[in-house]
Amino acid sequence: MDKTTSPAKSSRHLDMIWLLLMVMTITNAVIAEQAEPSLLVTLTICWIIVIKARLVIDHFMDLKGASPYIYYLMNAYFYLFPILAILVWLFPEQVANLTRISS
Amino acid sequence: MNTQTLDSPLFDEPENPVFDPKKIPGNPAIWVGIFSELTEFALFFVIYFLARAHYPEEFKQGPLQLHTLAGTLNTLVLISSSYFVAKAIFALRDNRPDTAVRWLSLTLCGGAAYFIIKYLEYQWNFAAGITINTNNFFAVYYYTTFNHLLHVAWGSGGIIWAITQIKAGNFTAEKHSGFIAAACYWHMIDLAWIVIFPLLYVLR
Repeated sequence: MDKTTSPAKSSRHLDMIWLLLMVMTITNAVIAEQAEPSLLVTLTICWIIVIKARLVIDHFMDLKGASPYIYYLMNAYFYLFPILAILVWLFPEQVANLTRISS
Repeated sequence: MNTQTLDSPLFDEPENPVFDPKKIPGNPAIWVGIFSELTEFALFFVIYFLARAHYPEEFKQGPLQLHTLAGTLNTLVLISSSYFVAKAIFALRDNRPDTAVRWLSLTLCGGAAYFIIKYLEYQWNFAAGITINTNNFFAVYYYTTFNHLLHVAWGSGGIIWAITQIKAGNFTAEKHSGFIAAACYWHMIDLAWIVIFPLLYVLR
């Protein structure tokens, strides 16, 4: 939290972040109900995961000023899994072949 | 042979420690806990990816059979509860402990709503004949969501403890690292769901 700003005033930006997160969640729900599977849809879903996680980490958890080990590890986690989701969506057979126990 | 003694420079405090204790929100122990929990969720995600690669048709059809509204409502509830926690921190820092308690009470309401929605969702699933043995997608779904449900219970316990400490005057505007620790844990639960919801309910 910025020490030059009063807590009451600086907490107002949280309202906007909350609203943004609500809109993105509803967008996800609409995609789930209506959109046919495609690369663009998958990319959008994964992009929304990253943005939502970044908003929570940066604004709700306020980790920007925290130890960089914590901040970057937390961020890396929420980039890694969306990227893995895209890779598995794009190359399911290759992933299955690489991880098959018996031939 | 090295005859290093305890008062030698080797054992002095390093000038630039790897971890600056002032920059660890809450306390170091909670971050060991948070990263342990995230590692546990990571294993669930890896299992999801592997099962998805091996059984693509089940994972394509699975989300269509789930109750999307229940998943969406739980996401909205968890995000809102995270927001309430953040507002509570600002209120306490602004020396308004009663307001902080009110925000945290709303967080607990969010946790309770999550439980009710999840219970109704499971009941709806069972009525539709969807169980853990239905197929691989639903096995992953039940294990992941039930594991997350347990974490909401632990997190709620942490929030209840924070409320009691604020009411007792143990957490103040200047001294509230234990509260920050409980808050970070709650945010971690929200973050895990931010990944779980699209993987299980949206991605096909």
